[in-house]
Amino acid sequence: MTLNTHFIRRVFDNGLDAVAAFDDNLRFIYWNDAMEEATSLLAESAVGASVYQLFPAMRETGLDEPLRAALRGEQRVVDAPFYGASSTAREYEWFVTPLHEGTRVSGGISVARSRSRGGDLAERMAETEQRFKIMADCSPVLLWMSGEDSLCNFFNQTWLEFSGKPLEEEVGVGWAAGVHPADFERCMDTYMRAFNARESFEMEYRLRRHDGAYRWILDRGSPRYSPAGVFAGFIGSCIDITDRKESEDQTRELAARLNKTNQHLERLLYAASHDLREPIRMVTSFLSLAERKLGGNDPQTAEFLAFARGGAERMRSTVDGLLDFARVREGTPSLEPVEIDDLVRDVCADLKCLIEENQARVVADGLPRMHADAIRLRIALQNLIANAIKFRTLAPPVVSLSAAREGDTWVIAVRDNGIGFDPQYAELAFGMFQRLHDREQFAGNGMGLAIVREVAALHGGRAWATSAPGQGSTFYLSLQEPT
Amino acid sequence: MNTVRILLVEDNPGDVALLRLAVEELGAKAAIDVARDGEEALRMVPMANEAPYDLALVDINLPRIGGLDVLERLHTEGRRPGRHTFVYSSSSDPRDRAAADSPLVERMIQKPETWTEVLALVREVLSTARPPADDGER
Repeated sequence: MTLNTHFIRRVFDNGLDAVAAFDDNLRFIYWNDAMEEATSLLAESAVGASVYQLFPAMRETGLDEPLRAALRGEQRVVDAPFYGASSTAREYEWFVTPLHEGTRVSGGISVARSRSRGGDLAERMAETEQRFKIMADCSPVLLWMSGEDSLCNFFNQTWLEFSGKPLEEEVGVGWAAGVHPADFERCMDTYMRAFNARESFEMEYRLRRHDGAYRWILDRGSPRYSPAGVFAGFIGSCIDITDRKESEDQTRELAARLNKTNQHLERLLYAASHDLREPIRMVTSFLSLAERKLGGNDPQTAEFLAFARGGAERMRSTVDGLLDFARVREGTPSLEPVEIDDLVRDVCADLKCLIEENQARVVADGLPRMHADAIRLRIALQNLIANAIKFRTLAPPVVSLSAAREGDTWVIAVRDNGIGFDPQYAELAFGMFQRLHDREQFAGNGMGLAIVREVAALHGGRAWATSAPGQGSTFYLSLQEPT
Repeated sequence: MNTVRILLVEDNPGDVALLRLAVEELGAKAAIDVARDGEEALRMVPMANEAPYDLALVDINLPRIGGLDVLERLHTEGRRPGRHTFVYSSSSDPRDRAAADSPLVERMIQKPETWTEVLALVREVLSTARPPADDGER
């Protein structure tokens, strides 16, 4: 019996139900842990005290009825509110049964079981919230939440450490005081517009850090909803992007400086090659005059002067190539509709001598209209057509031009029946001052295809070639049509 | 045979020498006046009521006032540098060629690179400059 009583006590002590026992004077003789929790009264003060001492209001409210019924030998099961530490009543299912000693009623047992499974849910929710708070506070990003009134009601520890302000100062619109004045209006507009539309937003603004320094923040916010789908406000996360922004600024600045230097170099190249033509012309003109006056008298003098003139002419050709290249690079291309047939006709007029000397035929008909920089495209076509004629076999050169549209790109093909080249050198041919054939036989400065490639690049396109020795070659130039 | 009067607007003494040598070589009777820059050219070109040169050969690239600017000013003043006006330049720039669309310009020529080309240019200049009555050679 002692063992048994002890065992029963253990069961009651650790049970979830609030259990108390009372004698026939309604004095408590037992009070378990759950009872302490349900009433906020400790066992040592409850045991020995009567029901009316502990709960003076009970008599008037009639809540003591189940207890008195037990003393009459009856059982009661009722719903009753218990007031715990939270001072809000929780509904309990209250079971009171008499205790018998022989046939005599010696007291009763009261068992109260929390009715609301909601109690557990509330606990679980409280736990979830706690877990969220820990996660939020440990997160490296700054987190905030706002309610359905758009006012902020939560900032994580990371945010508070960043701003150096307590939560009380940040909630509501307090946080906005940290936004840089120059970004303030835009920041608020973005937030309120997104808030009213219930749409996610992303924005950058400067936010004051605890040390007073403004840091660039990338803030992403989204609407949040209750499990039942009711709009509950916004939740957002922010990261400090100052370093990234600074390096972006530096890159931009560097790019601008590079661009300026490039422009300077292009102008220098143009001016230098342009100005070099004049003195070179003086050298070639007077050398040819000197050859004429002196060469007849002495074969060696004639030979020397011929070498000198050859060098000067090569110099002139190189400078011409540089000048053409500079002309293509200098300034900004202006795209306009260009009739390619007209352009080819103009080029043929410029190349009249070359075409006649070689008895060449240039076939181009029905070429389309494209958006291009007319002057630059003309230079490119002139180089391609001149090459197609120059690198000829014994057969009269035939150059045919065609164009095909591939998506948003026009590809112009210039095909010849010339000497062709080993395809492994196809890329080399487009380099500056690159030549695939000997200078004595085929004149040129080795800049032509580099210029063609430059023109293609300025039109968002490419230049390439296909060929085989003795099979002629085809050069392609692609131009992107502006959308 | 009349001596043809030519105005050469040219700042490069080498070109002046080459053209004079070519005239000499061809045995032509020509009086060549040289203006060494645009301002000098504006002073030397006859007034609107005077007889112009038989031919003016104007370099586009001149110090301070360029050749095309000189021609434009002359045109607005109703003056003509020559009965015929050629402009020439060492540039093969299509932009320069387009700029030579001035109403006074009869021809746009690229400067000669060799002695043979100098002779060809001077031959053309002389045959154009010769008064129509004398134009038997063409």
